[in-house]
Amino acid sequence: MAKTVLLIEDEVNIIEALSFILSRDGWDVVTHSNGHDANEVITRREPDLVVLDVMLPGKSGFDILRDLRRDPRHQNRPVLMLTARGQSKDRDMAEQLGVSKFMTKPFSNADVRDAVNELLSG
Amino acid sequence: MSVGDQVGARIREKRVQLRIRQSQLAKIVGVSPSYLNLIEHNRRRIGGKLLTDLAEALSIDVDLLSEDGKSSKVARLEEVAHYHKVDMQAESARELATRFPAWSGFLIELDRNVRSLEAKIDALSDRLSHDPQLATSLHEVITTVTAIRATSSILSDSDDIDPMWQMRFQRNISEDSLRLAEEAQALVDYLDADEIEARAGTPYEEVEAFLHENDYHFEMIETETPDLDDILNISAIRSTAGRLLARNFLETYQMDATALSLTSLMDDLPIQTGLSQLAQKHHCTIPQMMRRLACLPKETVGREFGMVSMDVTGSILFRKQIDGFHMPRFGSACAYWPIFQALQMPMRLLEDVVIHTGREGGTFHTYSYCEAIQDSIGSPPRLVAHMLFHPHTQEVAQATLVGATCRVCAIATCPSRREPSILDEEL
Repeated sequence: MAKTVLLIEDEVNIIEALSFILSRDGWDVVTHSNGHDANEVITRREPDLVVLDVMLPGKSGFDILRDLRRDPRHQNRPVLMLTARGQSKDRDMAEQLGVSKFMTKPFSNADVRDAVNELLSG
Repeated sequence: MSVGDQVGARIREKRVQLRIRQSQLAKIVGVSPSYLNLIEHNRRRIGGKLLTDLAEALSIDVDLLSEDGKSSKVARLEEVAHYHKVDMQAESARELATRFPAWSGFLIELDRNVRSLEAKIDALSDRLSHDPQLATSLHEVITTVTAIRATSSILSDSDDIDPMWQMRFQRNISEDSLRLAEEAQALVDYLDADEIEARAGTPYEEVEAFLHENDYHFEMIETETPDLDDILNISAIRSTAGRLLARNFLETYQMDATALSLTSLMDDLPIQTGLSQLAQKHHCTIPQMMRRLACLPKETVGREFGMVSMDVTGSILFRKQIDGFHMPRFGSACAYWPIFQALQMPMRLLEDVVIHTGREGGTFHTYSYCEAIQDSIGSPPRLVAHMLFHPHTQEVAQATLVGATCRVCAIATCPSRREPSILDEEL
């Protein structure tokens, strides 16, 4: 059975593009586009990987990650974080909160595919 | 003999310097040697064509002969040297302007450009650090670029895409590129270098532009009790938040003007006594007196006052800048401003002398005071601090060095530095 990738991103065309390339690689992609109930969706879906945008309506990606790591069910769940803000302080914060991998927009499709492959094959 | 009468002496000085005989020069400009002699001994005033002819004959800028002997070009050169902290002897500016007029002009123009760029760097640095609108705009641009990059890569890297998906992605790219063009244009407009200092971006800047336009003074409120909306309606403030902030300012202005009318204050103008005595005499609070002095015209008060107010978090609620005392638009002001001491000692008026180390800088006398406002019974007091300041012209034995904000401060060894200064970075 294909592993599941939950893509949490609010930009529709990025959702479509990433869903397309990851589905074509054989992953089962589900999407969600707001922050405020993202943690509930993760708990319900139990994805093998969460691809998480930082700037989301309702709740930031950092807050979602923080809550995720406090929950024993999600402490080891792989999270790939995407952000348009490449400052080192954002990267530092993500790492402190326990992110598995951090990517800065605009990323290449190849980099995303490689990151997803790496996180799901581990 | 008035200063203006020195024109003749300068003509003589230049002629002697060029080793031209008086009779020779007189012949060149078409006057008799005796008349030129009178001119050179400052016994005849000259101007117009004769002055121009003499300047031409002596190969000297006419400005250097006229006015007070210090042409606008020489004055500007001296100012350039002072601004850039170049140790230039008094006569060398004149010599530079005389011997190399084109280079002098170039130097002055260069200085103008440097100052303009410095002002823009200050404004942009402030914005990049603190402006939520700019951060949001940049985020939108990067997000749209990401969408276009991801989608166009799919189209270019794959030959076997379903026609339906192909159409969909093409439509997405078309939509995103249109959006990107709009976002980029909005960003360019926002950062427009020509307007960055004058244009109001955030509501706070809108209000500041409005206050600046009115020189912080509202004559109508001084003499009557107008409907504040009438004032706001003719202003250029468009945002709801901007109108709210401006209304708050005008309401406070109105209350202050009622408590301390200009007529009652006139007897004490120009200001001679201390701030505390003045407030006591007029039965008003110290912050009221500070605001009144900051908002009345310089000609009325007798000197120019600047002012800044902030809450306990250090957020700037109000600022009126004056030359030499640069302040950041948003928070993160210099930790050595006396206003921060006042915040630690509410209800005490502190007087200090500070040297602002900014580019133009200067020495300033400051009055700082923190009021504790009780909004409702039982609620903790809300602290709001104010600092009123004016240029200090007397010699001082000791003064505190301050800056505007760490990002544009040149005091490298400051123990309170929060971040590196961009003045140290290679831009």
